[in-house]
Amino acid sequence: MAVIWKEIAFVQDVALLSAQTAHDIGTTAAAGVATDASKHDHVHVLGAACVDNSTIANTAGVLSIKADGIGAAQIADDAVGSEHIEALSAALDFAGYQSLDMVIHQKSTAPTTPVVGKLWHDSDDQKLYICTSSSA
Amino acid sequence: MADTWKEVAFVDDVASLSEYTAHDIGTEAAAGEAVDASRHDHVHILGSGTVDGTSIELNANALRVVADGVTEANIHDDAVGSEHIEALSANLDFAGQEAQEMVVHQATIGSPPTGVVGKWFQDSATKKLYVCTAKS
Repeated sequence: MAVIWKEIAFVQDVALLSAQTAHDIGTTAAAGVATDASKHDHVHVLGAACVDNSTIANTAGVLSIKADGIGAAQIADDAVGSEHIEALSAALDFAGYQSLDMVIHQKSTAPTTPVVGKLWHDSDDQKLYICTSSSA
Repeated sequence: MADTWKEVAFVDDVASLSEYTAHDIGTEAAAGEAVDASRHDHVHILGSGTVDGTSIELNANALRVVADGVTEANIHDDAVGSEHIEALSANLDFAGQEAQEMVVHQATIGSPPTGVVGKWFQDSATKKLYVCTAKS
């Protein structure tokens, strides 16, 4: 049988398990300089630097799209369709641009909510109407 | 008092502390195959596979929404309100759809909007409808 000599590990030679909280996820990976080792079930959280804070928010390690984080730069051309636009709650400023291929509201009866300036096209008599007075 | 025998660890039975940079956060958890242990202050970064790159990307290892990353599929129905729509910078193509419940721009013939052929407004005093037919 061969002779075997085994080196005995001294405490300073081995990694002890750390009781320290694991570091946050960062933007530069690192080996660390600590002299103790992470337990295998340690948990990291997303660090503040993990998001650029312009579009994504990091609140206590929980990611979300930042309020007003989606700007014009983030919206793809033609991404906004009719289904995404709720009924207007303010006047829409056309800024001198054309409403292309627009169809006047088709109705067989006058709108139930008259507003001065409201247009509709009578689908029965084919006449165009505009409200000039909304008072009862 | 009972006799107590403690097993002494040999060097090759225990983990030493690693000098290697920690692996990136991935999409599949793994125990790993290394024979050394992470120091407790090691730092991970988010791996490129943890974001899809089409809507969220890593910029200098920080998350952000991609330019043009918000597409039709990302926008909830009725999410876009008047407050989100700036004054138009191009013609709006109704593609034959109706402008429902639309109210014509209210102004006065004494102080009309900037003239553009085809622009119309209703005189808020006389209630007459005007359309621009020539721009000086």
